Amino acid sequence: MNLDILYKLREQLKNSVITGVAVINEDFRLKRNVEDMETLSKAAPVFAQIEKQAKELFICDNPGERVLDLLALTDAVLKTQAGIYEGGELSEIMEGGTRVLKNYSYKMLEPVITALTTSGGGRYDILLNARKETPEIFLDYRVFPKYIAALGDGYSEIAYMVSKWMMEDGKIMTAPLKRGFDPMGKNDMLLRLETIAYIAKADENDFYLSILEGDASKNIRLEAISALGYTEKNKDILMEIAKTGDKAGKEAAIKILKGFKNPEIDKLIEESVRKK
Amino acid sequence: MRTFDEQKIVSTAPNANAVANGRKISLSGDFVKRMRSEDDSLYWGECKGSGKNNYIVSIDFEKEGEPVFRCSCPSRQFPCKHGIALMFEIKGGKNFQVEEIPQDIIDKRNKIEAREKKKEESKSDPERKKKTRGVSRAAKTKKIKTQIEGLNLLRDFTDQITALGVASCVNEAFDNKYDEFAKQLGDYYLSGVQLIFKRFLKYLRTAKNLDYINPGRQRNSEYFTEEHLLGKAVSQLTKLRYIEKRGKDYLTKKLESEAPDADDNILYEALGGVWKLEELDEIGLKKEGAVIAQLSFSSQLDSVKEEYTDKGYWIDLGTGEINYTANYCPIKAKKHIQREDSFFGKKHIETLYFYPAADGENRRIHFEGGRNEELSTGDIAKIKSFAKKNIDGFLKSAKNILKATLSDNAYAVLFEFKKIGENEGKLIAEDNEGRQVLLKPVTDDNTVIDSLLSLPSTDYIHNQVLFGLAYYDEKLCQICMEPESIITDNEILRLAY
Repeated sequence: MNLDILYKLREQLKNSVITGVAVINEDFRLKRNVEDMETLSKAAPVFAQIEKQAKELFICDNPGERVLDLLALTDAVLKTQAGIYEGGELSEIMEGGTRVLKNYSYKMLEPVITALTTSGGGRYDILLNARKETPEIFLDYRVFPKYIAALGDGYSEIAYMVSKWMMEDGKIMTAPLKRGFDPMGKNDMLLRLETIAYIAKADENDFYLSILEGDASKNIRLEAISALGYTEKNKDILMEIAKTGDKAGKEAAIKILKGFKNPEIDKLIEESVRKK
Repeated sequence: MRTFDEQKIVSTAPNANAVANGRKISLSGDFVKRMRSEDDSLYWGECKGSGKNNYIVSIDFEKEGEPVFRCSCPSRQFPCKHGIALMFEIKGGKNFQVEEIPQDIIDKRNKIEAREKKKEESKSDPERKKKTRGVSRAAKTKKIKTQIEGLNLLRDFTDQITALGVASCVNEAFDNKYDEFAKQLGDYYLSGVQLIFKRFLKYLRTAKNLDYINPGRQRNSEYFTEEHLLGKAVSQLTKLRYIEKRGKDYLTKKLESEAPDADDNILYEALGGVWKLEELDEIGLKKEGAVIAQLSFSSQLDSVKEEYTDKGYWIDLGTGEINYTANYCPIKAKKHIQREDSFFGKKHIETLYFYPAADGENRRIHFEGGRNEELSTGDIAKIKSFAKKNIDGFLKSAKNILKATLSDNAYAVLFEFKKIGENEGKLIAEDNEGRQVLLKPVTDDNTVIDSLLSLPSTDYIHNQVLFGLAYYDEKLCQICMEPESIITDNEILRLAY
């Protein structure tokens, strides 16, 4: 059954209450919606009743009350006729890398979640205390998404503290931090990358390279270049950046290359010094 | 010697500050004496404080599961930080000297016992009931007449608003006349109506202040558009009209039938009636010997009522009926009142009271005390057995409840699902028949969805039972569900609290 007519009628009734029923007789849209109800009214007695009540709106003395009554009726009918989602094939949800350690109660979780997701004073101490008393609470599946999002906290001390804790948490953090990583992002993404690089070092070399292959914000690009320094396998790429990259990229690449012991690199560094 | 874990202490404390302060007291060694009774029913101590004399603090475990905290400090917080500190002392395994129970505690215990005995006696005294009823009948009749007058006034006011249009009220939303009218409704014993009217005002005022609302998250939300807010204001008006019309009929009939006492009509509460347990008892809205388990817990701030509602959904392990407890805490009293917390076991309740509700609706329940027990895998299997086999198994009853004008737009249900997955960035639960329901939070708090996306194992989202709140989403014009917990063979995994 096509209920568009009824949805439109409900919207127009709502609009009438918003704009004022004193001018309901001049509401041509509502009149048209009421006329359209004729087709639907044959489908079921309840629709006929709605049509009847709607027509009476234009001739009664108390349209204010009647329009609210009719709104209640159409709402009830539409809720009775409401459908559910129909979207087809579902794709799988990945594992979150979190833990179910124990049943943390509301009073345990709420202060931590609030401290991670709001602004204002007092949050730092709450988080610090939670880390001290129940460090595993941050890996709970209910806190974890907020824990990661806290890398973007407006209060940078919290963001850096959280990043430090993640570094302590170690390798379990790498995959969740990579998920949803936006190379064009701001400081939170930069901190993510720094955290990943600190934890994974050369193990995530492909990830750093993938950042450099695509579009990335300047700071994230520079951080990715720095992360390439964890393995000398990246010598050629870094040399390429040092030769052809932009100024900041070149400088970052040369800084990293200085740590590698290789005559080819020494020659390149010498050249770049001479050029300066 | 007793012991507590961190969670137990946090649950007992009125707020996070009390926990922090209690911990500090314990760590700084402020307890100069620690004692316990031989039968382990009383722990007490002397604690240094800011006063001249040490504070005497005790925890009385005479009634198992209902510890009584006492302290000589002047704090209004309950339990105070010294009580919490004493818990930390017990948790820390500190040495408690075995001593005789002090006389003042014995006296206090006796007083409690005597009070409870008196209460029991008065409960079973029919003469007393009759007497109160006789005295209050005239007052009740007078109250009903005043309520009818108030409803007439409400009709005139809503007539004015609908005639001029809700949009025109936005510009004068802060006008005193609205606040005065809201106040007047209270004078007419229509506190339920008053609340709906205040919600109506809140939507108008939020719409008026939309540009000034805290920037960021809220402004981008679908819940903070003028269209949404005015629509919500109209819904409140519709409710007001419904109560005005039905309430008047209901009250007039009550007057005519000369039965002004409380009955099980939901309009009683909608108009502003407050149920007393003895009234629920009188009309038989109770069950003796119930065993219940909590499925989810939440705490929400109602800015209009200016109070927190701690809400827990519970399942009756005997019948599978799902109901809820609601405990209210005014914002002003937040620091001093011990709030509810999640509960993970099962409770054996002596008398479970039910508040009136529409047929098939989840009812508000109330109980006092009760014996706690761990939830076994057998209990969880039982809970699972109450789940509907598929979405169609609950859809019709959900719609029947949600369509009511005064409905809270929430229908708690357990159902078996085959899979939870994503489609076009949305989270969907699919049953064994391939029918799907959109999982979406009712408010803009996305915690439950974030939790679903962060679960440690995909086993949780395949072939399990979901507990959630079905609701009608006006924008999507469909029945959606806010997921609350996943019930596996071994556990109730809460997606929030």
